[in-house]
Amino acid sequence: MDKDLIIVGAGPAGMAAAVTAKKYGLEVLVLDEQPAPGGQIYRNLDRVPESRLSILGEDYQAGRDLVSRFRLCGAAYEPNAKVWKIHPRGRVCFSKAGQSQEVTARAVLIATGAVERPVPFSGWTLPGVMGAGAVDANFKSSGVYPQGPVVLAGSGPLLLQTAAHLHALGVIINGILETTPRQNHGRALGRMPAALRRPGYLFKGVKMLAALKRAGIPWISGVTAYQARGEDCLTSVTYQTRSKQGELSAGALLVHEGIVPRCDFTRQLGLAHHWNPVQRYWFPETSDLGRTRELCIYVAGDTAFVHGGVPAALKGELSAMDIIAQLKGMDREECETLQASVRKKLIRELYPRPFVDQLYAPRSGLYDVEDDVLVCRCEGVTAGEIRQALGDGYLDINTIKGVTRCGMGPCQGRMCGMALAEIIADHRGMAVRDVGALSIRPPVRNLSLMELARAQLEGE
Amino acid sequence: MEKADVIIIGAGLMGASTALNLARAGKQVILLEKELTPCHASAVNAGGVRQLNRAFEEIPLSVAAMDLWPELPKIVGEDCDFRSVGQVRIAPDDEAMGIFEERINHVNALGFSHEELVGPDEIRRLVPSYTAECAGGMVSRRDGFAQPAKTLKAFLTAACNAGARLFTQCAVRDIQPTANGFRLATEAGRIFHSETLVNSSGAWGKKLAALVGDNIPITPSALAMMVVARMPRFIAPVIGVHGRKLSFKQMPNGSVVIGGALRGSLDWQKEKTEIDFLQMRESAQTVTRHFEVMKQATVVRTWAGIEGIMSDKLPVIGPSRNCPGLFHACGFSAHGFQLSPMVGRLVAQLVQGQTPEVNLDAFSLDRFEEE
Repeated sequence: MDKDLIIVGAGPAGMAAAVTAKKYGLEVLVLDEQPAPGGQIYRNLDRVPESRLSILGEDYQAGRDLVSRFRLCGAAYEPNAKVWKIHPRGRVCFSKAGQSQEVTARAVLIATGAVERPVPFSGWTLPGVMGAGAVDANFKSSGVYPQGPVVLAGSGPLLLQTAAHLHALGVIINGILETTPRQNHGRALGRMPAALRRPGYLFKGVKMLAALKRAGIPWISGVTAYQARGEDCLTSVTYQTRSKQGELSAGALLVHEGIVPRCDFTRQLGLAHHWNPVQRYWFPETSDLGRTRELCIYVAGDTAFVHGGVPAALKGELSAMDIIAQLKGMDREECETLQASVRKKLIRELYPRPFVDQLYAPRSGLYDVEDDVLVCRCEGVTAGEIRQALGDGYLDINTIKGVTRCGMGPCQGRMCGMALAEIIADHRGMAVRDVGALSIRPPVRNLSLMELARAQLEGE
Repeated sequence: MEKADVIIIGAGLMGASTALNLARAGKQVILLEKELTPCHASAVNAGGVRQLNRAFEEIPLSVAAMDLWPELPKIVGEDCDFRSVGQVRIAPDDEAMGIFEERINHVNALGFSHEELVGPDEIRRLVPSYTAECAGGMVSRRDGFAQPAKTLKAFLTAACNAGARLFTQCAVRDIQPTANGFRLATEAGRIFHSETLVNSSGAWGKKLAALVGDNIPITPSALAMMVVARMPRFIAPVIGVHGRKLSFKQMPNGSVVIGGALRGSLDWQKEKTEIDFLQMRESAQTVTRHFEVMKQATVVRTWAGIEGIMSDKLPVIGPSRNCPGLFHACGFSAHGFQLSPMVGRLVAQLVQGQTPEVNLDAFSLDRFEEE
């Protein structure tokens, strides 16, 4: 046994878990794909130049303390390490600098965070179309951002945030196409009282919104669909609302349709998953301590359920405490006292969440993909081909994958899996939760055959 | 309650092919499948259509089946992506070549000529990307590969169009012989009646047979495969190398499917498979050693499927030992795909009391000692 605990991911959950576990003397290894700790929210935080800090604001800098505690906690830390398989008995295979090896631990904590929900639409494969979150991530990493004019489209807090950052950078924004359905406001209203117990969170959103509107950025709400136009690259964006349609010229279209847990490892492990009907995503079954049905496997942070960065760190702490209790036999009373105080903070942090989730619930029609639109970019499979397979009588999602090749390319369905399930559900007139999800097979990240041939594995 | 002349348990390829032949012969047929179709080994196998290097007992059956593959458009209305690209088995040294020569002599003596012994020059011509030692090899030129899920779907659709009725998510729990046939109960409590019964439930064949007291020595196993991202076309035929765990083919889209006796581990209770990367590593070493071009390959996926392997690697095709009116067609031990169009025809003949057009004695359950 190499380690007590392997943590996959050095975002808020992974960092907080590592700090906690080290405090109680566990041998910890943290494997992370990024060159620096922080995950998506605090990406590159302790290496970013001053000039970018003022743009990225308080929420970003709030991670400073956690990142530095993580750096100093003494956990073994491997940046640029791509995990490609997690075994239910605690063996983890990862690739670094073209070399693959296997490490073993008594517990594994999956803290791989969340990703932007990929949604196919007409023109989404044109150069110039990007995820809004991806643009923010690039800015954090390298200071690079798209030159205007920019159009943003979609729904969710991250859309606002990216717009605010670009505006502060002086990028011309030709419009924000907001797809949040009007009826979401009514539905979210009931969740407002709880949200108001943490008014600061909501106030930040309102402030951002007001600043963007004050700046005179065209704000089009009630957008029901949008399309990217252009021959070889994006030149404009067309959109429709209930009552009108329009076109905005654009050099870049930044889309954001919410955030979903990154379930590739929890799927690879064959863990049970549940469906979130409000935000329309799968999340792994866990206890509030992050336990799963596999004794050695824990899940924390946004991978377990999308709650955002601050709650993710608290969830990481809770999981680490439980792992410490399991492995070291921490005094039960002490453990429960500690967990109770973290739980209390977590509950407070989560007050606004049901409101936000309801307000930014994906619109109906999000996956009304036209037949000629590519769903699987790797294998070049259109929505029409998927519907053809359904018409031919193939029903099961993994069979449709086999027959159409949708989801069989190098990304293993990370980009198309959700859309495929939604298209099947719509066509068969059933709930997405009954359609299921694509199987994920190791290697979860692509691996060269030569690297596999030379991998240091231990095996059974 | 549902009634039919024949109930076929297991809507994999063997079941679907049997259903098609029986329905076209005018029988009322019900197909019972415990899951959704197409699934499991029939749908996600490597798709090899191979006569080459089969057990001698299987050759007559395999050769008869081969005639049906180019006829699939007439039989089931589509070609199921069958590509007759040939299969090649390479002899890395003279010793292997000696074994091949002996084999081909025996095959010829049995009256068959589908397998040819070829020299190293012909191997280099057929497989220019092969970069390891080669003393020659064997070739079966009509062989190739097809798309398993499409093949199964085509047979199922054709069977249903001919009048067979398919019930999915119907796992059989109990089989009771009655005065004039059988009474089946499913897990969900549905009742089915028929005069005759076919067990074509693959890896689950042993479980099914045990319900009537037959013992079929099938071991469920997890067979694993590995897929690499698309590459420029470098090979046409399906390749195997003697003495090496190596078998692969390049698909029409350029991706390469690597198999060859790779085993995963199987939790048979949960029907869950797990890839063993020690074997995958060994396979990666073998592949890159024999094909330089594969050093550029990127693994995108591995998978393991459940397949029933017989103790002697030969299927059971024939009547039950203990239960008149029941016929088994299972245990194809990872090489049933190519046989399936013919097996359905032969089982249909058995069910109808006819003498099958290919002798099936070698596949009788009687070859095993009774327990």
